[in-house]
Amino acid sequence: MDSARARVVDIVRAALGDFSPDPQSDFDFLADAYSRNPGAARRAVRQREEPTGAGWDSAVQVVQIVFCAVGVELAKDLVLFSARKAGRKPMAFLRRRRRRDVTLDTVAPPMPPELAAELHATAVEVAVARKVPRDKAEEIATALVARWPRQG
Amino acid sequence: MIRRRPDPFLTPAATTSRFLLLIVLTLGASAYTATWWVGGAGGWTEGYEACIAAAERDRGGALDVTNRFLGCYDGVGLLQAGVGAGAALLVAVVLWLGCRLHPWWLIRRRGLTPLDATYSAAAWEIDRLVAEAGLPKAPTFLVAPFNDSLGGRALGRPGHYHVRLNRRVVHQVDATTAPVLRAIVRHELAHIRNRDVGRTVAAILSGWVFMLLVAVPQLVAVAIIAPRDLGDLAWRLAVAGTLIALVRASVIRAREHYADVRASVPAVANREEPFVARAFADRPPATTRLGRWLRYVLTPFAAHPSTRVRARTVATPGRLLHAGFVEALATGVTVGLSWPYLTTLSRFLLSASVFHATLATGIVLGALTVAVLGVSLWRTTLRALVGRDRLPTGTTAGLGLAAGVLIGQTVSVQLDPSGWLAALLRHPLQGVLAAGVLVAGCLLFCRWSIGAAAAWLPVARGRTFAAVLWSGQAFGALAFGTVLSIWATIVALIAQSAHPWSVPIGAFGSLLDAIVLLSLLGAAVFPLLAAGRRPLPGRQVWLDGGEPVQLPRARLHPWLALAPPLVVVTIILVVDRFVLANGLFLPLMLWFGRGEVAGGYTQGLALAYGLIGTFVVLQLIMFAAVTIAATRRDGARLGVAHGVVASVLVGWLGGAALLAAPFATVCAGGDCDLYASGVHIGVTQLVTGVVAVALAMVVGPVIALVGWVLRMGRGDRWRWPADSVPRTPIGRRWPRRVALTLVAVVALAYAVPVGLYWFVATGPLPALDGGSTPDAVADAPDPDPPGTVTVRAACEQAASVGVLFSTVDVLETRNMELGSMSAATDSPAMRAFGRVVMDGTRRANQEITWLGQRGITDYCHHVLPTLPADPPGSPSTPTPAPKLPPIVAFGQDHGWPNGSSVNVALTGWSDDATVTVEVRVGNSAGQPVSAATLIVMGVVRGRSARLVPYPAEPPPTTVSDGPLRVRYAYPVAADAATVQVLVGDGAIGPASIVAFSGPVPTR
Repeated sequence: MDSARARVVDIVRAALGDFSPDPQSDFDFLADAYSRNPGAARRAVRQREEPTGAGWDSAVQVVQIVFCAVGVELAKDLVLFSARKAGRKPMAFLRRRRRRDVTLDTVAPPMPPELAAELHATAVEVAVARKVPRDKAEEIATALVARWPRQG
Repeated sequence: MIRRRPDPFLTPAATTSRFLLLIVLTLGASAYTATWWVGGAGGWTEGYEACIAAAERDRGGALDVTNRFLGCYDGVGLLQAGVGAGAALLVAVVLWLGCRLHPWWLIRRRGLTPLDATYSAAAWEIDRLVAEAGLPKAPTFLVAPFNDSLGGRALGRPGHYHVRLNRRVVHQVDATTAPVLRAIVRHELAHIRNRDVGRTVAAILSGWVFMLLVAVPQLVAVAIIAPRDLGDLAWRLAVAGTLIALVRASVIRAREHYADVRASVPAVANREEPFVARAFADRPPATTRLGRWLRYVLTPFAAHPSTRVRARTVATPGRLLHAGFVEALATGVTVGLSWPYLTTLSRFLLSASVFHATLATGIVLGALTVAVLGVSLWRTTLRALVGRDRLPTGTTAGLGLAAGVLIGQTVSVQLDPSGWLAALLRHPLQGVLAAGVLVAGCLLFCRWSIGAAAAWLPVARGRTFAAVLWSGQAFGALAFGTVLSIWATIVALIAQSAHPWSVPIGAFGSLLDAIVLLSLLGAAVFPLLAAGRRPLPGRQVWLDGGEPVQLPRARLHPWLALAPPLVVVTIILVVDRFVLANGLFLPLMLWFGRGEVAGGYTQGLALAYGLIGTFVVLQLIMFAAVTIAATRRDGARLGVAHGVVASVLVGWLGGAALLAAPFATVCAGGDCDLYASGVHIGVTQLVTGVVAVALAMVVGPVIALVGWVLRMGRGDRWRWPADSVPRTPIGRRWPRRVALTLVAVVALAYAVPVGLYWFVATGPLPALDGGSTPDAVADAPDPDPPGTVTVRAACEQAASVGVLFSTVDVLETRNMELGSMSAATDSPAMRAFGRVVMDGTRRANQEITWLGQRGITDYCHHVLPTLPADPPGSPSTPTPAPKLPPIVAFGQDHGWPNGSSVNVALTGWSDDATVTVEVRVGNSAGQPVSAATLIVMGVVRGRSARLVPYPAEPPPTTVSDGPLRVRYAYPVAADAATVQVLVGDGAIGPASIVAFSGPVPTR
């Protein structure tokens, strides 16, 4: 799994480099943290996480984490697509392996060119769900889809 | 650079006291709910009623019935108390577990990751800040990797602290962002240093506990079981919930301010910004007008202060040294809410009388009050001293405290039958007066706290004021606890008895208890003891260093309190020894020690009362003079304390010191009863103390009012006098030590006999042989037939006996009356309890008497609220018509087993008849029925009237000197048709022991 994870991380890092020129010195730290606890990343956007009301702007999430989340979602879709293409029934596959178990540690299958638009839309939705403004979400999706390895 | 800032860490932080308040509120509310929940719709009434019904059916012996009833009653009570205590314990465990598990849960839920080399620049800076903070053990730093806002939080427990920092704080450290990192890390380290980390979690959890374990279950249960009560319960819960929310928010806000101030110290030392506002996020501003208005209204509930307020507090930390109205109100409400429950609990746990259960409850809640409000008042006094400002008056805090107690009792879930609201509804005028007593008590407590602080803070040793502060709080807890118990006694008297003088009886009667009296006297002495300490040459009171300052000192005048009594008593002693032929004190001592005095008991009593009366006048003069003289413009308002001490000293010296020589004379012959002497001296000293405190309660406010009016008229502005900061070193050490030793000796000499008497009166020590059990009690007749006294009348009598702590013989007479009335009711259970009281009182067995009394008071506690008011003319008079024990015709002898006898004759008609009473005093062992115990009353034409006003008996004619025989002669009115003469010990009312009756001879 390490190689698969490293592949996704590499893709996300590359896309992140296109998105932000700043040096991403702590990307590996963040990617590792996300890998270990993606649920915490999802909850971090809630203001109620600060019961004393100290963190009023806690809805701001680290952009690297948004990239990781979007990357994982793309990987999930591609895993499902690969399974379908291999003749497996998606539901049967899901029974064996639930969607939420697909994480950064799984796989990063190459992207069929015909799926690029569909995956781009998915990426935008995921970023928006993370409270990223839509224009930024578009940029993130474009950077990730552009950096994702293509089939053929 | 900011100005000099007073150090708020010299006194315990407000966070601690408010947290204590919050926890007591939460645990108290949980306990109350649990007992209510388990008790069912009847609120445990069914259990108690079952005990009452069983006692009514029980046809066993009186003592057996009483024991069985009390066993049943205590069983229900203990179960009730156990359920409450168990619920409180359960909630405490939940809170403890929540605090314990919170860090683990937070780390897991938020994916916190240990800080590593990824953030090396931040790690280096953090190490430097940890070293700067000087913590015994460095916390573990964790990064919240998914949070890109500025912020951090300390979590964990002592020895296992963590600090969470958001990723943005540690990600990039440069000249721009480093101040933010430093501000956040210092703030979180300050929380650890202030040891308030766990309190935040507990405070947050307490709100949820109240919501989930108290409010919601009660509302749901009531909605199902008794929907009609839903509205009533809802508003009470709303008040309690609002209070908890207010206190909870104030705990969290206070800890933030203290952490900000602590964090600003190294920042100022390093010439950095004391408060970096950009490091702490503010709440987004409200966008609508309504939103802004709501935000303003709900400010007290906000858990986090705005950065503007935080910056202002860091610049002027003296703002933290403040006693506010809301804090006092919340304390009062907590006291009022907890009162009925804690009284019930202490009665069962301590198995104490109503009065002592009330006293114990008062002291427990007094401790809570001083821990919150008392410490606040010391803080605010410190601020005034540091700034050399006028001392606060404590009026706002006192009014808030009193209002809180009244509100708390009113919003209690169940109406307490002995509570203030019940008293107000029953007797509105007396209820208002009782509220006035509470207000006066709370104001006095607040002013005393400020005066004590002003006296002690300038002479306190050590880096902080902890030692003197907590000593003051101990005295304050006792004093305010007794004030609360006095108030509760008054309220109970109003609510449960129909006595028109409930307020003064409750107030002054309570003082007869040694614990109450000594607590109040101790509170009066405590500030004056500060005169025995030399002021410090200077103390560091500033947060950021600087020149030590000497705090201005309230003027104390210990010699003003000590010298005048010494002078007066010396004069009296000289007059007694050299002017009066036989002296005053030797006869009194003979009476005290051996029960022998030439003039008999009446003469001795007259002598004692005369002396007491003289000393009361002297005490009044001394109190007024010393109070006025000591109430100088020092702002500490300790004049009353001086006055009380001087007043007690006059009485004490008169009652004890001047008796020393006669006492030695009497005892030199080896014929004195040390035990009896000690008890009698205790009574005398108790009376002098009661008089002094009563004067402080009555005359003190008058003097204060007059002084206030005079100052108003002059319109002058108060300022610290120029010599309030004396030169140093001040005074020699040894005179102060000698004076303090003398004070300790005097205090012990006062307290020991009073304490001895208390132990005799309450039972642990044996009563005096014979003397304290009047023969009238021993020979009291059987009670009236059942049904001649109503249960309500007996219960009202029980209320007045139960809450009053009287001198021994009066108490026993009252107990006899109570037993007699209870035994004449139509309730079989009450009749059994009454007979037990009578039997115990007759045998001077206080244990048995107490059993009967408890039976009556417990029975009445449940039955009285359900009883209708007695119709006019019903046989419910608290004092039944005296039964005439063996009636003897005029001219016949009546003898007692110890050899005493009495003969009454009607003689010598001319214009008026004369009653002659001749008494022969027995000389056998034990306390004789003597001339000293003789009181004569006459009944002329059925109308009771004393022939001669007591105690002004006619002088006796000595008939013989062997076995003493004395003869008294009383004139009889010319229009008298029949004459009845009651002769006996303490023959006031029905306690007469023998009656002579017969028609007036025809002229």
